Amino acid sequence: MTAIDPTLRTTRTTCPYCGVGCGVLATPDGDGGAAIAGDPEHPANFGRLCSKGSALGETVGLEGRLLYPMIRCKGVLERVAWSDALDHVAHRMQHIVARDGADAVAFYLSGQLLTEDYYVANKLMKGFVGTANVDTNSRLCMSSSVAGHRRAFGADTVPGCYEDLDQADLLVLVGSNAAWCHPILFQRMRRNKEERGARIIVIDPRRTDTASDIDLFLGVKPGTDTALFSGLFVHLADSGALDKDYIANNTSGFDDALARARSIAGSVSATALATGLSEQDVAAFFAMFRETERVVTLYSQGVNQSAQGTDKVNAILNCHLATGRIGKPGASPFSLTGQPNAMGGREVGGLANQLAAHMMFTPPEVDRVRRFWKAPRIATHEGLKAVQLFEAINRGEVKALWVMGTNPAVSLPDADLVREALKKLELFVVSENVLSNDTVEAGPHVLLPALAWGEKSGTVTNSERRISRQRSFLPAPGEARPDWWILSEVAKRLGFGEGFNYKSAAEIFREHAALSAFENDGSRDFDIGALQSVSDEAYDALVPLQWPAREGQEGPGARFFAGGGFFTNDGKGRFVAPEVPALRSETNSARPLRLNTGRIRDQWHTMTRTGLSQRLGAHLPEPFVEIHPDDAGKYGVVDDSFARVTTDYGQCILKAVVSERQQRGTLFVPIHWSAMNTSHGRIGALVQSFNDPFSGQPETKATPAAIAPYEYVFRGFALSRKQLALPQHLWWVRAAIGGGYGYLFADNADLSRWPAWLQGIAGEDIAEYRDFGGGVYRAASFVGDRIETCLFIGPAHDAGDWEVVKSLFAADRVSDEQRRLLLSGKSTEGVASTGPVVCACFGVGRSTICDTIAAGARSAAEIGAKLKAGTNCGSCIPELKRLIAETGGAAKEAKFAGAAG
Amino acid sequence: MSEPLVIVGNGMAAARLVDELAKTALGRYAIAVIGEEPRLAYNRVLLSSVLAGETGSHEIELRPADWWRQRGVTVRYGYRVTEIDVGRRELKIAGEESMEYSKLVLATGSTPLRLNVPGADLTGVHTFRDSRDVDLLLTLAAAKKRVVVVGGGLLGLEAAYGLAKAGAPVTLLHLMDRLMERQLDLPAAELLKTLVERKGIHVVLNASTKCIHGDGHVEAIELADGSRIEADAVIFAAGIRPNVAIAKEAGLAVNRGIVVNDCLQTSESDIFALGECAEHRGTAYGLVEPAYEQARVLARHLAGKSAAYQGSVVSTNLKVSGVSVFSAGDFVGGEGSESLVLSDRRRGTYKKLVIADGRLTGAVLIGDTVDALWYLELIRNREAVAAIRTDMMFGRALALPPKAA
Repeated sequence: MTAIDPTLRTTRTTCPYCGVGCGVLATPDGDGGAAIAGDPEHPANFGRLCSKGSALGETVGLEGRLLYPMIRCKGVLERVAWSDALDHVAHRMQHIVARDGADAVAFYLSGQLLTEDYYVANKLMKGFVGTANVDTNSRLCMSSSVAGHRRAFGADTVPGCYEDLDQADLLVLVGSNAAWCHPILFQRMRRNKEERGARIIVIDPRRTDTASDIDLFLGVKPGTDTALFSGLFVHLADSGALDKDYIANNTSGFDDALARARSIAGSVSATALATGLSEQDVAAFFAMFRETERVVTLYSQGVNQSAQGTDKVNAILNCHLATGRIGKPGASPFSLTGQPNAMGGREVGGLANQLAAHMMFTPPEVDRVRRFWKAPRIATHEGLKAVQLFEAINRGEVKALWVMGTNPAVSLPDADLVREALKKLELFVVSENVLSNDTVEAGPHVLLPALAWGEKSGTVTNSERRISRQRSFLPAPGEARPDWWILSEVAKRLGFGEGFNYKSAAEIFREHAALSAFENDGSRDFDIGALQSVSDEAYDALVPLQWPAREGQEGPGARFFAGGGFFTNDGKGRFVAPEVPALRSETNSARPLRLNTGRIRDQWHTMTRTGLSQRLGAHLPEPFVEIHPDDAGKYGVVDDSFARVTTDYGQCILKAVVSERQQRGTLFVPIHWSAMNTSHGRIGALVQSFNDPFSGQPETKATPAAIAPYEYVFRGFALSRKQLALPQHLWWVRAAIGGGYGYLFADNADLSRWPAWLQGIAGEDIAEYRDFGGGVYRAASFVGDRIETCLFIGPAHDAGDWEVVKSLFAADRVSDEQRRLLLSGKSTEGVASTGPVVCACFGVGRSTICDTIAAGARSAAEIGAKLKAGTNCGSCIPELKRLIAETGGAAKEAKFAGAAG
Repeated sequence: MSEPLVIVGNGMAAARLVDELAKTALGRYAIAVIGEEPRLAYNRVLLSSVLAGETGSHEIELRPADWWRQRGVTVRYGYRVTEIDVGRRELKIAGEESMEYSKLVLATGSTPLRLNVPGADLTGVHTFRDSRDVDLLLTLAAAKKRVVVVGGGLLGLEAAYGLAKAGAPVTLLHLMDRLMERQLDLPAAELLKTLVERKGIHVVLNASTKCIHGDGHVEAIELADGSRIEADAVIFAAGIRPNVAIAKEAGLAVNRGIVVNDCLQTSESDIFALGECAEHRGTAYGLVEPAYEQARVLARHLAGKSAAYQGSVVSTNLKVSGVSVFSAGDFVGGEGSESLVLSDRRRGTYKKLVIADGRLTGAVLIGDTVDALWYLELIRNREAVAAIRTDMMFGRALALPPKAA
């Protein structure tokens, strides 16, 4: 009988990446890793996973993890006991609040936190410390959708659900590269297209992978979405496509909004002019939208990350309200959320302009929450939103900041300023998984080790309001603790023990559910009162469920607003008249281009997790800038060379990708790289911080920029078992590779610095190839038969092929023959090895000779007749004879063995 | 009636010449070979192999007696030619009747140099040249005698390797700062030293022999720096001298070697010379490859066909102390040249290619000589190498992959 290790059983959990919220089956391998599969029963993905989710097993190792609390003493972080770290945080916070008031402290949270962690953080700050300075990286992600929803619906409600994507006849994607950023949902849409013939329209300045093989692509000018949807609104009104009953019974503000739309884009031609599209395409879009009852408009960061993001959202919502296509099967607007628990954060109220549980700062709401929490010092007004928060830190107004699970030194706009601002804090606390990232490097005074995905346990909510459990399947490493525990311990030390005496995530969840139902009676969309008494066991077993889940009501509701019932005072949905579309900053001769930012398929945020996976690192390993061929020609940028991108905020040097998919006049750069993994690719440093007046979301996709070619004489790569400290003044990027770390780099310094550098990090056993005249240096160091480090440098056109070398590096041993050709950097497939030379005169190798012996040659003379070996100086004849004896003997033995067998 | 052709010397050059003549001028000459060594021609290159016990002494015979007989060659070994009577076309042979010739070929080879130092004449001081020397050295090795080999060139290394392999504690002295300085650059020589030392040979560089101590028999060797190495035997392997005595006495033009023209003809029209005793365009080669090239040319010439020897691009391509070594052309490289170097000490390989004016002009290879002949061809053909520069170090198979059909 085989003993089964109980720790190796499969656990159902939820993916920690995008807002699709796919179910994951994780089976620990007993060695710190886990096998990962999609959960066939999860309604978000039905067993499918994207590349990122599939690679989760490669990202749960403990290398680079923060495992112990640390406090900075005389500039150096030192390990301390939990009690000391918590005392220190509480003491310093107390001191600053007492001296400067509650608004001098702030939390900056993350869409990767679990709902329970979010809840405790929000409650502590807004109810007990007394400030609403609680914001989150969701501010950069979907806050314009939140604001747009609230303006139109009276609440932050996503009206539809994923089934709508299967049931729609027309899917309109606006500012969304779902093929890369929400791949599982995009697969559902494609399947709908294939099986039901649904049509897909993509509206995006970039022709992304989402836009391939679709029915209509509208490459709008940046920032003109509002014009397009205003034009559509007008068209729907003028062509009799309105749902007049729905408008009359369930909405208000129609006339003003239509009048505004008419002034923005009153016709097909006006729309075409405003958006840069052809009239034909505009008309085709309008007709398709008009004629298709079941239409879902999906929008994401292209809409949200804008100084007019909220207006863009409302321009879209106007069209759905006007046609009554909302909350009906296959017909709804749909915000695609970027983060795994941005929705959970919104439910909790973990944003500076929310109080809690979809309640705001109106006096009755403040009073209700105060009573529920028994809060001694409840915040009564909005706090600072992300960009303003860091500006306030920079001005010295906010003096204490606690960052949890996010990396603002990379991800915020004007990231260099953010990094500087962080240095001004009196108290800077970071709760983290990793020992180093740009934010950790920005000088926190306290580092607190938090549990990571796979270790922590709680709930997350996905884009369709579906609450799923993230469950732990790995033990807590080192002294890492749940975020809710860390927060509660600080709360107790601040004297709020009664409100924070939590024993489990389930207990917090029950309180959160109870608050959502507290004096609700259907007045608030967010209500999961049905779960307020859930037992610990039932919480552990919780199956994915959508809200609302009101107590005493049967079954959760999948959709909102098909019959009205908005959460405004009068219960009516609001048409909103948007401002005339305009980007906040102008291009000019020095900054002639628009810099767009976004994600790539296989990376997530700042790569602190996805960067650990070799599979994910292989897709696009280098930070790059995409540019249209016409612009490339104009600015002298060449594909696969380097280019410097400059804005008023900073500059980066990136690999140039010249592509027709990029719109003329615009550049695209991915957001993922940081100072941890690249030298010149921190995109946040380029991005302007202008933001939306309603949502506070920054306009990160339209910074005026300039581009110029940047020359590097040498290019190269290094592969190493350990992370490397590369020489100074180098362009470099690091990627995870099989067996270690891969670095791609470019250099202008003399080659002669490399041999000494390598000797400094390698052992004795080094192989080298030098052709300094040809600009080439290659070397490898070994430990036993395994490559330890290898280094390939050459002129730009000939730096070697790291794919070939990577596969050798990944192996635990390289053969002598592989080692012989390793530094060629070439694939040796098809290069037959002749083996070591036996006959020097005619260059005949041992393998060739053995083959000839195997083919029947039985004397040195016979070999000589066939191969000439041994027929000149003859000095190899003894060896030939030996080989005959050995090989011939072996052949005989083989024969004998065959006979015996 | 065949013309009498006499070859003086019974070494590798003589054997190859007979072989070539049998192919190109069968029956034209009545060939006689006269050699001093008391055995049929053997492969001198393999003497160290015999010494090392890797090959039997009888196995290194170049051709069996039958072979010579079948070709009608009279082989007279163990005889010493004392004089050439040019006027009478006659050879005087010690203790024998004179022999007439119509054509005479001198293939007398060379003799190891003995250093002119005090004690060089003591018992126990030897050279390493022929199979008699090998027998003697084997006796020393079998008795575990401490041997000092003087000379870190090819010959000295071979002797040292053979002795060490045969069981003798060996010290190798070399006057220069590196081994095989005429064939190797410094890194190559250093790698070779390492590899030789791995075989158990103690190598002393910059070692100038001052004198050999001993009372009748070798006891120690003293160097110029005053250091003293105890020894039971000393082997001189510090260079060779072409055997030119009889040619000189006969009045043939002789410099270091016997001067020959492009037809291998000496100053006497019916007398030829080849191999280590010959000097062509100022060069007396000490390797077998040029001797073989000369044999080919001479045979054609003697067959009445046009042929000219242009000299050899000197390349060294052999195993030294069990290590493959190749060098050719201008392997040092200097002003106006570029060097490509691949080194991997653990694999025991060092490869250096020298490029000048876009052409391969020299190469040194240690350990990995798979592509030696390709490099030699590139050097000889003076082909432009720009197109293959990036890959040529890693071999022909990689640099010039067979074209897909």
